[in-house]
Amino acid sequence: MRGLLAKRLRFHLPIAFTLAITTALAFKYTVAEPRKKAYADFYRQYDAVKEFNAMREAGIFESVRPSGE
Amino acid sequence: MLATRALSLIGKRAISTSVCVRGGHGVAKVEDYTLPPYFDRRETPLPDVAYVQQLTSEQKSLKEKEKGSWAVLTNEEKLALYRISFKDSFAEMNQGSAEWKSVVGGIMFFLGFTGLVVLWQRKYVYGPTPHTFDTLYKEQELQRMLDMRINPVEGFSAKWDYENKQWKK
Repeated sequence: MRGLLAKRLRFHLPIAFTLAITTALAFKYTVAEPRKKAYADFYRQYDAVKEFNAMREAGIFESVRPSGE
Repeated sequence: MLATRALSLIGKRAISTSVCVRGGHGVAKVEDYTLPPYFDRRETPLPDVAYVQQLTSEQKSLKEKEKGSWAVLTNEEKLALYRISFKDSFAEMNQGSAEWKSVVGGIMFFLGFTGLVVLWQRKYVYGPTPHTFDTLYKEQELQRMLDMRINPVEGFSAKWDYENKQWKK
């Protein structure tokens, strides 16, 4: 009847730590890194002025109307 | 294990089941409902009271014998003493039951019933949906989202091909 918590912890604590660290690493390399790469790739070829003009022509801005009007 | 459990209980039993002498008027009977309840729990292995409160004459003589040397007690007597103090053994109290099947069945039944209630509500309680759900309105909303370049990196507008004006393959 002694050391019941200690015995349980001895078994479960390494498993808990391993699972936590594995989950964190898995998330990092399946979600975080691809996302960072996607953003880097997108902005490498991004022309802000071109995108702005396309949005302006579509008529979504209130401060600048499309060039036709 | 059996001996330590029984030994620790003698002191507590003496307190809880002893008669009370009040003010020289004699003894007050200890009612059952005034005593703490007995229950078998793994977390509290020694309940506040013994399981059997009213001892038969055999059990009383056994208790007298318990006051002597324990080496002379037979195994049946030791078991009888255990069963006086406790209802279930640890093995008996820890065993599982099939109750979970009823619980899961009840959960699914009530989920199904709730589904029926929701369907009835949709038909008879709710009014018509707002105009913002019309197909034309939704198409205009979608076009505006694409014009605004919502989520152009990984999400919504990233999947639209602006050159060919269609969804990317």
